Amino acid sequence: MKAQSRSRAIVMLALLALATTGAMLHHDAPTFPHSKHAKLFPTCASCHSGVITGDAARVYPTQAVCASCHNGSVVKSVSWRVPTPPVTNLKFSHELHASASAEAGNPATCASCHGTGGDTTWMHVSRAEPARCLGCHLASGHLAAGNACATCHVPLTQARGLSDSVVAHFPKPPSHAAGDFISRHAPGNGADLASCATCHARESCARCHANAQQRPEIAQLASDARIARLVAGKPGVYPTPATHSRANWKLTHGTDARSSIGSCANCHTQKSCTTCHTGTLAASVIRGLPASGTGMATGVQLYTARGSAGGPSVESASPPQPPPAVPPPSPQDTADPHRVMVHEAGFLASHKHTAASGALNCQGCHETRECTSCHSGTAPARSYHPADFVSRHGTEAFRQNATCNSCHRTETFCRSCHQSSGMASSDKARGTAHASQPLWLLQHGQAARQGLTGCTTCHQQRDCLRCHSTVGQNVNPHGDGFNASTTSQRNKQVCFACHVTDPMKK
Amino acid sequence: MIHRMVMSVLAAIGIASGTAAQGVTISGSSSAQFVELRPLVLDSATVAATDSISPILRRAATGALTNCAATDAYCYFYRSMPRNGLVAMMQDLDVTAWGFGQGLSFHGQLRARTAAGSGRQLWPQADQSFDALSAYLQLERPGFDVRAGRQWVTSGLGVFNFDGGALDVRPFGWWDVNVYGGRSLVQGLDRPLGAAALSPVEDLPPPDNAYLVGAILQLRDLTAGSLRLQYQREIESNRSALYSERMAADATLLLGRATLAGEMTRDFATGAFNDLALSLGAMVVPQVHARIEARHYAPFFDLWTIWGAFAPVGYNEGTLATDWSSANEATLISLTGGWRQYDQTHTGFESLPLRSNGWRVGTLARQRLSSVFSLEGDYNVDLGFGASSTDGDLAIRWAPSSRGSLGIRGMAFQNLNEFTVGAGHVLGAGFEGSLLLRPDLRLAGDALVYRHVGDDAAQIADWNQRRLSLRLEWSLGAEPGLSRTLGRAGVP
Repeated sequence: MKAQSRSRAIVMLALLALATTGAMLHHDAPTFPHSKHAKLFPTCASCHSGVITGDAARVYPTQAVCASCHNGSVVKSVSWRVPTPPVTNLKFSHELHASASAEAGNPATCASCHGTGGDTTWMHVSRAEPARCLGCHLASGHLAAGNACATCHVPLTQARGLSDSVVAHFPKPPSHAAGDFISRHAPGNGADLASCATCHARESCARCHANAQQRPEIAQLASDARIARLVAGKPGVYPTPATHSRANWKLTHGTDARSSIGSCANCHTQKSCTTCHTGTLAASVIRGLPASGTGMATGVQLYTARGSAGGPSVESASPPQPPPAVPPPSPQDTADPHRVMVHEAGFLASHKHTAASGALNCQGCHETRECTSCHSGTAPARSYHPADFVSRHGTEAFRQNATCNSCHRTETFCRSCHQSSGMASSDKARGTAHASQPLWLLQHGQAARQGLTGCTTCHQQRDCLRCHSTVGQNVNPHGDGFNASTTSQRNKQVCFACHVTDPMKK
Repeated sequence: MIHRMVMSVLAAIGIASGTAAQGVTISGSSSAQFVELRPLVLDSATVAATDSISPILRRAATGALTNCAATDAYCYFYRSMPRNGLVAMMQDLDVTAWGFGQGLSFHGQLRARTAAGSGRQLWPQADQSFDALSAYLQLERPGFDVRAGRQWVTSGLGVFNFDGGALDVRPFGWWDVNVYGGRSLVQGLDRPLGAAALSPVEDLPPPDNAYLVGAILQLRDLTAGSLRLQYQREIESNRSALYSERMAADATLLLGRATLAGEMTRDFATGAFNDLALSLGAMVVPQVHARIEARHYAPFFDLWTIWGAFAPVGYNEGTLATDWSSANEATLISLTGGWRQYDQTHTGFESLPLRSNGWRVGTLARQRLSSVFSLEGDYNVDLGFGASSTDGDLAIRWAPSSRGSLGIRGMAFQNLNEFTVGAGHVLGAGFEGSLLLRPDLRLAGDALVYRHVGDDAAQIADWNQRRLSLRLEWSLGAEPGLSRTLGRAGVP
């Protein structure tokens, strides 16, 4: 029984010790039993004179002051240590509060803030509660929009005792969760910036702002190693501004860029632009953006998707990132790419008019050589024609919709290939190119009028002159639409290709 | 060839560096392409070895249709020769150098090419081993630009290259006047437009070289629209005749969310309007864009040819195109359709009519399946005068990052040629991919195999083939203050 009782006592003692330790760790009240000393001290300043004078050494009494009574003979000895200042980013001046309240005609006493639960009994005191501060300072609540954080808080960089974890879990003001917060979060004045500095350091901004080094309000923020560790490797957050949803934004954003490139530089580096702007015409504007570099924000990352007949598209994406060690500061973080089609589907095939009318400033994004490298027509334009176009080009060629000859000269490209590959039957009286048309001779007139360009991809002029000339069969090829006068006025030589004498002198 | 190429590049770089140029940018594309083709060759069979199927046509024992003349003991037909393979190699260099003086820069676009293999003669302009597509000095000043050298003009009339000068003046913010002129060149080649370049393929080439002169007036207001007027003529170098005299007008009018566009090209020599088009495009509902166009087209021919005297007719065409994309643009569906009717030719026989109209429909769809996979397919039917076709393509692409992608492509198409060498369907499959090795270095390539099945009785064309291509694209240097990147032109 005794052994059992002893064991139970040991367990109880252990539990009591744990509970006491835990209570002490979480006990906010001063360990000094003020109420027991209520009859000894007539004023607070007896022990805390430094609070009034601002002398930090006299904010708390020393061990010697206690020992004047607690010397072991008058009263039992006690151990007393001056409390360690709390780790906090709060700032408070008793002196300023005392003088300010006095000037306001309502001098504050110590009990105004330190009276336990509003108890005004002498020396029934505890630590001041934040709610009492807010009662005077912030009628709208701790994190309400418009509050000046710096009224009560020191800048983060001065609160050096706070750990990474504490910083990461700073409470987030409700205003920061608004959908458009990032678009309008720039501090409007020094007071705003001071509020930002309560929780943020330069690295907070530099995580997203490619132009962090150029923005004075960011440069004013001090650097902080804790923030640097927390944002390391985290992608920037780049919400799409409302302007970017404007009709034709992709094609008209140059006006905005020219007028306010500094605004663009908040999110974009030169690389954002040069993804599309391979030409030099916009180079002077693009130079207003920061160049990409190590240790700086990437800016909005665009890359071109595969160019095809639908026209080039660009995609914006935040690079895939490992899960953050601390909760993300914003719900907008995403790795989903956002595709933006620069030109409508089929633009590559139909861009002639847009380019010819000047409706778009092609040179804004394209080098002249991009046109010529394709339109030169002797290089395989692999992004334009579908695969194996050599086998399937016949239909488009017969449609002769004028796009072939924008790149290919009929004689030097089409005919030379048709001749070398045996397709062209020039000079071969029994060519079988029209083999499936047994009465082709009777049909070829209509075919020639409707698709003469196609004919010329194989046939030379002399093939036709065998019949259609005065030295041949003298078959008149001129149709109703032929205006001999206007033609001969500009080039009479061409008449003599068929006519021995001047036909206009008949 | 290589010597000329190297010398040209060195000259360009030398000009840039030797004259204290601030910098040079050079972008290059080195490509090699393996192609297989089977040329046609004229063959014959004795009349006795053929069977009659019509008063004119006979069929050979191989099934090929033959032409036979009554007085001849032989019938003639075409057949495919053995497979010819060739490797076409091309090196493009684009050089820009600046800093010779305020606003002065040099631009050059050089191309060296060669082909090897049994079928090298099948490669277009295989004997043209070097092209200086452009090489000009440009002076840019506020309000005007001047260019001198080999250059191009792109316009509503087409794309023309010439050796000469151009002055571009911008007297007001939205006015632009461009006058240009010089010696005409064969399109895409660095040879003058004349007998030397064209006689290998034309018995009646232009008698003399030509000069190209023209002017373009452009009015452009971003909020209202744009208008561009162009006049251009090509003059025989002895000034005795014109090779062409044309004008173009292109206009765009912005009407809120709609765009009204018109274009016109006119050939003064024949009095014909080669292009007359009016189109209206609009975002009819969110995410749906539609465009409708009415167009008249008639072909244009240079005046040094007799073709214009044959009074070619044009056609009138109406087209409708619409595309829908999802809000996040992950899905795109595009539909197009058109109908065309040719003008009356006043020739031929009513009992032997040829088709005088045509229509086409097509659809294109893209779907981003995930952040790395995308699917793309299209299907087109084009039924018209001369030829008809049905084709479809399907590709799936894996792009794990912006650095590279790999795609698999399959296709099938059928050609129905009304009066040409053959008809058949082709099945093809292969893969294509690209990899950005560095921000300024990209490797791209594809490999495809085609299987041709002849549907026509003639069976004379064989398109069975394999193709392989590799391209290495790179760039050196960057504009002052700009980061160096590869241009988009090289995206596979």
